[in-house]
This record gives sequence, C-alpha cells and structure tokens, in this order.
Amino acid sequence: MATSDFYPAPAPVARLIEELHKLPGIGPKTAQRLTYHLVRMPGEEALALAEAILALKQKVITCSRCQNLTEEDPCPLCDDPGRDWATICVVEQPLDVLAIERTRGYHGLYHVLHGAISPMDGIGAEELRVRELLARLKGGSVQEVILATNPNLQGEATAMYLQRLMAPLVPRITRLARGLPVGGDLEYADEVTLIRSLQGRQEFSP
Amino acid sequence: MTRPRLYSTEALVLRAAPLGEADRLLTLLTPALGKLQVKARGVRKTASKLAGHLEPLTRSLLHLARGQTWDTITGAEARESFLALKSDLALLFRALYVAEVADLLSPLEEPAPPVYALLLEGMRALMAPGDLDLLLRYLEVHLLLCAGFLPEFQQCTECREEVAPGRHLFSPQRGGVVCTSCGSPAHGDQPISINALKVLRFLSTATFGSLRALRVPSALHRELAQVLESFLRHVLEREVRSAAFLRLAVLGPSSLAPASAREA
Ligand SMILES: [Zn+2]
Ligand SMILES: [Zn+2]
Repeated sequence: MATSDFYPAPAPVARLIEELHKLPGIGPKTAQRLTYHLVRMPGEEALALAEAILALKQKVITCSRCQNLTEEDPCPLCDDPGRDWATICVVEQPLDVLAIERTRGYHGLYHVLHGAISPMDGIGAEELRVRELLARLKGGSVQEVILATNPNLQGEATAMYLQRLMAPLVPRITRLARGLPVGGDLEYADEVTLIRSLQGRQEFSP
Repeated sequence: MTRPRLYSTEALVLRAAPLGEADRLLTLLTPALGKLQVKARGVRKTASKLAGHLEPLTRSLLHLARGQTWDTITGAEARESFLALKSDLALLFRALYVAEVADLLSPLEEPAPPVYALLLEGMRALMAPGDLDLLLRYLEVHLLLCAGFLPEFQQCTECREEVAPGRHLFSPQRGGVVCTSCGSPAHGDQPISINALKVLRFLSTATFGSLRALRVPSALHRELAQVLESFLRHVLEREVRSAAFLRLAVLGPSSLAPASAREA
C-alpha cells in the first residue's frame, strides 16, 4: 500500500474505494480489492450491478404498516387475508422477518423496528419505528404482540422498553423464549442464559 | 505496554459494536492493562458459546491472542453477570451511563486498577437499595478523580481564596469553583449553591458505605446532576450519549425517582 502514497490512484478509483469503505464490514483493504476487481469486470456486468443498486433505491420502500422493505404498500404480507391480523411479531431487522418466515411456523403479522435501543450510540425510541408500532395497536384489534428482538443487551433493553409502552394498549405481550442454543453443551452456558432458560422452562411431554 | 502472544485477564465489558459479518468489537476495562479494544469472533451467531460471557456489563475471565489490529478473544468465562441490572430498564440505563463515562474518561492501554475496582463496586451498589442518583454523582466524581480531572471544590481556582457563601460561581472552563471577583456569568460561569459544594466535597472523599448517611432533597439532586454534567461535557468535549436515557419518562416515576423523592 506504500506506493499509493506516492502515486495516488485515479480519482474515480479512489472515490469508489471511499464509497465501499462506508459499507458495514468493509475495511480499507477489502474496499481496495473490490474496486480493482470492478475495474477488471466486463462493462455489462458492472452496469448490471450499478442498475441493481439504483433499482434498490428507486423501487424499494418501507411498508406503511409493518415498516418492512417492500415494492408495494401495503406489503404482500400485510395485505394477505390468510394471515392472523391479531398477532404482531416485533423484530429488529428485515432479515429477521425472512428468518422467521423460513420456519413456516408463524402466521401473524410483523413489525420491523429497524434497529434496537442503544443508549451509548444515542439510539432511542425516536430513532426506531416505535411510534408506528403504537399507532397499529391503537385500533384495539391486536390481541398479542410477540417481542422477537435479539437476546442480547440491546434487544433486551428494547423489549423491556416496548413492554412498558405497550402494556396499556394490548391484552397480551410475549417474549420469544431465550435460552440454550440447540447443539450446545450446558456446561458452556453463561449464567444469564441458564437463568433465562430456567425461567422460560415448559411442561415436558414427549 | 507489550502483551505476550497469548494472555489472560479479568475484564468488565463496557460496550460492544458489530464488526464484519458476525463479530463484535468489544471495549473492555481490565485492572492491569487498562482499557482495551478487542475482537470477539462469531459472537453474533445464535450458537456462539462465547456470546453470553461477553455481553456488555459482564465481568469475565478472558483468554486472548495478540493480533495485528485487534487482539482476539479465544476463551471467556463469565464471573459476574449483574443480571439484576440487566432486568430493570432504570438500572440498566444507569449502569450503561456509568460504563460510557468510564469509557470516555479512560485512555487506551493504561493500567487502571482503581477505575476497575470503582466500576465493579459501582455496578454492585446499583443493585442494592439506596439513593441511586447520589450513587451516580459519587461515581462521576470518582471517575473524574481517577482520570485526574477532579474539579476544585474548596477555593477559587484563580486567586486561591477560600469560597465564601453566596460569593462564588462554578466554572467548568477554569476547573472548579471561582470567587465572584475572578469569575463572571458572562464567561459561562454558573451559580452553585453552598449545599451543592458541600455534597461534592463530601462525595470526593466519601466511600460507598458512607453514602447511605446522606439525604439529598430533589432540587439539590437536580443541581448536582447539572453541575457534573456541564463539567463532564467540558472535560470530554462532547455529550455523554446515554445521559439522555436517564431522564426517559417511560421509566416511570416509581423506578426513576431517587430514594429521597420516594420518601417525600
Ligand atoms: Zn407490511
Ligand atoms: Zn478568585
């Protein structure tokens, strides 16, 4: 990398490196590698990539009900009469919806917060889609909200925070069971995981 | 300080930020090595065995391997999880605030046994009954003291005159209390009551145990919080982000009010 200090990269190359470096998980070295890969790429492939990025920004919107990413508003999920409209599952990210949908074990609706409460990063309820969630509960037709935020400090804080806000608005608030990961050994579990697994234990009838 | 290729240390996890696909960048406070930033691989996967031992506000025994950019955690065993702090929003937000102040006041890789001991005692004290706001002020004062930034509470920082009641101001810029001849509200110096000064003097020499003896009315509490907030902002040259979360209405009057206000 030392040579680039003396012979700077052409401006368009430097610009793309800078843009890619802004993406999560992309360090300066990876940004450079990707950029030089794109330089060597055939013109039509590069164009297809550029168009895909453009289409993403032009065609993808957030659903006005569940705040998930969609091409049409409301999204197909919110518009599906076969779903259970009385249940809302609250998740942090759109990818979490995909993960739960893959199980085919849930038939209610979703609400995507687009993040979790993180005091040290200055992210509070105002930065998340919390107001939209409360608005959905005001109608009184929602019977259960499932809090499916991540089982880590920020996800727990978000769940506790939402529980306080929603308690007067919905009859039943549940939290996704937190506990031992499948395939793990009990002896490696930390105290918090163990205590929460004990608290969340269920009737056993094989 | 150069660390061996493989080493072990006890640490309190102050914060965690996502890194790459499934890793986290952890900010740790250790007794002998001070504040460290290290990488924890794969801890965002649900099957990670290490994740639960590396959550923020957990005291763990860690094994690490020195790395190019960041040292990497190879093993972790939680020793103290502070579960009570993590199960109550009002306590959690306070604990995160203390951790953030400690993080911002600690330089990287400078041994800090007193800060480490103070934080652990602070986390334990937060879980015990008592005036939690007074505890926060105590921790702010002592974190400032450990970092070498304790404000002057006795005499004017300019002319060294002992402060006389009603004839003094508090000046974050000048590092503490100033007399009315040396300071001026026009320069951002602010009024401070003699009672607030007394509490601050008491806090700077007090121990955790002696906090119980003090009863602070809520107006004085607000003043103390405001004085220390403005001083911290001056020292850190930025806001403490989690401070805003201490005042959230959603925490409810029952849990957020200081013990003194509850008694009233
Ligand atoms: Zn939708
Ligand atoms: Zn003076």
